[in-house]
Amino acid sequence: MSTETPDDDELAALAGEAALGLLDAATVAELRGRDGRFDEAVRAWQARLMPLAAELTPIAPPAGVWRAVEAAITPAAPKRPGFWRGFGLGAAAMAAAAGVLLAVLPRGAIPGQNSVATLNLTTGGAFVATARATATGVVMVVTPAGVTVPADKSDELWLILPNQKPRALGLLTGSGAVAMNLPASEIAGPLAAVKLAVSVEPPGGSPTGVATGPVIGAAVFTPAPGENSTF
Amino acid sequence: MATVQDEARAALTACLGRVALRDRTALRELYQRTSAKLFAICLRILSDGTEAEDVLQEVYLTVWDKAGQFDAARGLSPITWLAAITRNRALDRLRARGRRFAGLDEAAEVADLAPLADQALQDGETTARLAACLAGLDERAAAAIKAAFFGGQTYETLARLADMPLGSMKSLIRRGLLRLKACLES
Repeated sequence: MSTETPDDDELAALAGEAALGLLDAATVAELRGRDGRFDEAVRAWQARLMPLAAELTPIAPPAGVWRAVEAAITPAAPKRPGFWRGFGLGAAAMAAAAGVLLAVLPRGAIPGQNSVATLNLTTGGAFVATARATATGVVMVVTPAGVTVPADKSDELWLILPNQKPRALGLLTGSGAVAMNLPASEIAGPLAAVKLAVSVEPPGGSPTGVATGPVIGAAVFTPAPGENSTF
Repeated sequence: MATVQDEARAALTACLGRVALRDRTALRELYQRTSAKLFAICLRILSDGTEAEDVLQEVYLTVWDKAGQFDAARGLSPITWLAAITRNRALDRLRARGRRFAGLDEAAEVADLAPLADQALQDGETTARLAACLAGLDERAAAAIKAAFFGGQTYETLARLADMPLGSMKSLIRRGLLRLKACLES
């Protein structure tokens, strides 16, 4: 095999073989190291081939599967150590989740309680951000309500903490919810002090890392009304 | 026609968003909408009901844990994301059984699917297109590509099953992959 960068066809063929699992691990490692485009090419193949899985005739699983899933996600259920290890959560993470939770939570955030920020847009509609503190930070879902983002623009979400520059969190769409994780290192402090803003940016978002377009909505978090913990 | 698919996709995306917030009813809804599809993948790969049930359970617990990593803004379809998790878990199980499956490693990690900016992942349309393009390939190439996708087969096994020399099988698949890519991109 040549040590030069493979041409486009060679790259596509090798990435396809990798996506099918036909190459051994050493070869894949070598290809990844040699060509920065290899990972992207493998992902593209996974997307091309995944409909093969989606086109199979659906077969309803036995009811016991859901009961087992439900038991495993219900707080009273005993934890299965093998399961947690499987997801890379070691003993330390388990300890953190069980005992030291408050130490890493943003102050003022109650585990399991949702906070909501409703960003009413000057251009019509609203983005509703629901956030919840977890052991490792904050998980947030932003849902559009009657929002239309012009085809030649992007709506970009910004996180504004006291005495800090706004930080870009990502692009929002009018068609579906967007979920994001904010690590505890980036969002220390009470959720009530967190402000979100949406600005209109060129397609793909602000090219500079600073909001360049008009801010069309902003809001702070408040506890969700009548929120019951589900955790 | 696209509307029904768009609606299903939006509903699944919203569902995943709620699962990320640890909403158990949302996981239940997700399960009701997708479990038959994902169970079919488990059965196709594992050919064993009990193992398929185990893996399906693992898949939904993975989703419970990682729904926050699904990023609708990148244009990835939720069912494609779920199918990828399912295939990876089922192939992991195959490998654990002792059959050879090598090569993807980190490249196969679910998280790696997230940055995929492929706006063309409209489920029904993409499925029909892939089927049409596969039908345009040499029959043996299409069969080998499918077998590898679902089975984690080696080139050696594929060649033996098709009663072909190893080198011929390799060039058959490589040519098939390139033709498939050209067809899908045309």
